Amino acid sequence: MSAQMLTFLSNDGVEITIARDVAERSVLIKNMLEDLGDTDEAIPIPNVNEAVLRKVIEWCEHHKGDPPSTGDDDDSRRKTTDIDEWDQKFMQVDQEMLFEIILAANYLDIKGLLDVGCKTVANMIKGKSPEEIRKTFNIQNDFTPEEEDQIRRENEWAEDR
Amino acid sequence: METPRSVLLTDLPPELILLCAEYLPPPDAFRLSLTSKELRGLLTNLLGEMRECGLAGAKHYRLRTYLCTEAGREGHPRRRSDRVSRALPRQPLVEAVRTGQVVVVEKALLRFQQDPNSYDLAAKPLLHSAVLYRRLDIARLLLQHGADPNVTSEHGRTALDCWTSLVEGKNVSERIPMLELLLAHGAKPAQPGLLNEAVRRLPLGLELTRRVVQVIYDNMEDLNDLFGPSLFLRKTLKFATLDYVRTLVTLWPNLLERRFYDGGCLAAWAAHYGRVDIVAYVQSIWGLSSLEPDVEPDVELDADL
Repeated sequence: MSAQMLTFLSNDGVEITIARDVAERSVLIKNMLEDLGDTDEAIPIPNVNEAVLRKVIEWCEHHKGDPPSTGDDDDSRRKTTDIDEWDQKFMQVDQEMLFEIILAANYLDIKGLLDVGCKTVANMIKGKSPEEIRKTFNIQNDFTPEEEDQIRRENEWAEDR
Repeated sequence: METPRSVLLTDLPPELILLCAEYLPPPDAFRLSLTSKELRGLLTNLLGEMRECGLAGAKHYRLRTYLCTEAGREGHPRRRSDRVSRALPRQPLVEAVRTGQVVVVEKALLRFQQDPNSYDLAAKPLLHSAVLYRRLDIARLLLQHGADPNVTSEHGRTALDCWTSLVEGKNVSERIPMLELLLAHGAKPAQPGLLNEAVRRLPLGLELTRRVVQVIYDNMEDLNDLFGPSLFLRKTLKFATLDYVRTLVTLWPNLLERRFYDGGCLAAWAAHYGRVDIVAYVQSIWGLSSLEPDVEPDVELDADL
């Protein structure tokens, strides 16, 4: 693997230089580089700011040795909410950063990181009552109590028996 | 106060919120949908799909699994009486396993992270249902996605034991692929069913027969005792396929020298049961080695046939 370096420009105007094989964890960038060929210019990442971009790069650095994902038909893609230890530590960030990372992973098309992000959100929701979920994520309750009751009755099947 | 550009969960694009929700068990996904109208609208379809996959109350039967080595009942999900299980709502995932709906089961396992080691309300693991209802595709799917091949039911039965319980009956040879699948995944017997006459009769082919005998040998400590009373052996000579006898002789060469209660040898008894194939096989071995039998098999054979 050539140790070619690439420069990226975050949306708040900071240049970050990283190795090409790390950057290619992102399918978006990989495809872009295939289209563009080699470039010395800084590649702008318009949707991502510096802090988030650095965080994403940190993840890519750690996971650069991972086997590339084989797409959606992969049998081993069984979903569990188990997250490996390093990723768990990595995701110990405030909510805003977490959502920014998910957005960036989605934009840059880094499937592994997107999965870890979503699992982290799922783990934050698990085992909480609707009220607690609202509190955690600052969601406005716009149901009237009658409506909430009604929905509960319609969806009894989903509750633990 | 939040800064104006602070990102909230609800600010994520809908497809990303759904992606997060897919990692949730149904009760949690449901509670998330109760938080606001927007999320409710977003999650309605997903909840519908979860319902279709039969994940209702799935928590009950997502309990621990056990290897047959720890045959105790302790820790198995509580078995409900038939009356109680009938009164409980049907478990669509279990129905899907029984009726062989591969797509539904696959979706439940892959998309909704159901444990392939789930038990149904009668404390029967899904894999056992697949075997008992002869759903080869489902069993393969469950095993592929990490079902424990040796998960036991409350009575300590393993999937392989379930399979042997089906051996007697019609169209038995259709069930051989299931046996192959189970053995390939390392299924072990916990009960002596695999020693049944019916299994010894099955035309399994030499390779599969070897694996069956080997798995019996490895898991049944008292196999050597079976040769003691010699009834097992005599029955084997009467019913078993030639491959079975060959496998036994390969594993225990001294069987050839064995004397039964009347002093007759293996070949003599095979001849007594009219098993020309076994006699010919034993003779071929004797022809190859210098080992001479005390009894003249040819004479016996002529006398009996």
